[in-house]
Amino acid sequence: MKNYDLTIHPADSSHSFRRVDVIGCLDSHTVVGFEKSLHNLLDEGVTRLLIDLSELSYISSAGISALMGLTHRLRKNNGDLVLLKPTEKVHRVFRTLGFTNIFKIVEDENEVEASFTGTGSES
Amino acid sequence: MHNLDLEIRSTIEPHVLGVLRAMVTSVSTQAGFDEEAVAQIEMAVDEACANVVRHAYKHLGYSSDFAGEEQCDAALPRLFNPQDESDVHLTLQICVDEEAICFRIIDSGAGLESHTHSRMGVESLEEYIEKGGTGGLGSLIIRNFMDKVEYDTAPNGGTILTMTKYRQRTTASST
Repeated sequence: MKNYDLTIHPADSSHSFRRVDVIGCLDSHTVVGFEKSLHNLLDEGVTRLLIDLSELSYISSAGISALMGLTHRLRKNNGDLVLLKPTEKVHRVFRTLGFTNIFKIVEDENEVEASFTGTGSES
Repeated sequence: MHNLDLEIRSTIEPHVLGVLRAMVTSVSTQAGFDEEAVAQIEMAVDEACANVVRHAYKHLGYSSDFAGEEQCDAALPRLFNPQDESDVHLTLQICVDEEAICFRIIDSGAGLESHTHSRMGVESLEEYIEKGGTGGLGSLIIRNFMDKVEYDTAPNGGTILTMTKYRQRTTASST
């Protein structure tokens, strides 16, 4: 598995959200680029953000804090962050620390659109 | 697995964290810990080592492409000035026996003072959220995921952090 890779999908008119895939490890080293890229995206006006965590092999406190920062900023703008299919290892960390009560986590791609109901549009 | 004593001395650079995680995961797995315990050990050791790296950068006045609970200024240099390299390192000792696996992380003086170390972080997720989700989570993870956590001061003025995970034990304590 790659150490770290981030794919920002282009805006898609069939979805109300913007999709990002993060692969590998989100630790204190890689989180800087991750945060910068995603906050740039929010600067462009994105308020509904989907992050696919299905290939995220590791997340540290720095990665969790980055997700918290994105969640806070999006919700402040009447938007939201949805996390898609975190790996069991990452999901267990969220669960153990209590973040499953904070983050919106979706296991089925078909449920993503509905999970944004009540929040602002993509841009 | 037989009893084991390992010692790794590493330069303090952010990309070393992934290498240390891989090694810690491998040793913990071979020591017989289950998948969940191994993941907790990996995360706790990573948080401790990341803390050493973060504060070493700050201590030496370097900006870095490294962040975390207390973000440094974002910039590019990853390597320390060679003239400082001999003075800046961390040592990771791993000890495995019948009862537990133990990690000692010793920085070379660039890390936090031990007396501030023990008071770092937040006590709970609620406190972390109250403070805006910006800091202290690493220390909470270390305390929650390891059974015993001790801080001490090394002879060179650095910090020694000792973390123990017992076999088949879930309670946590911190000093």
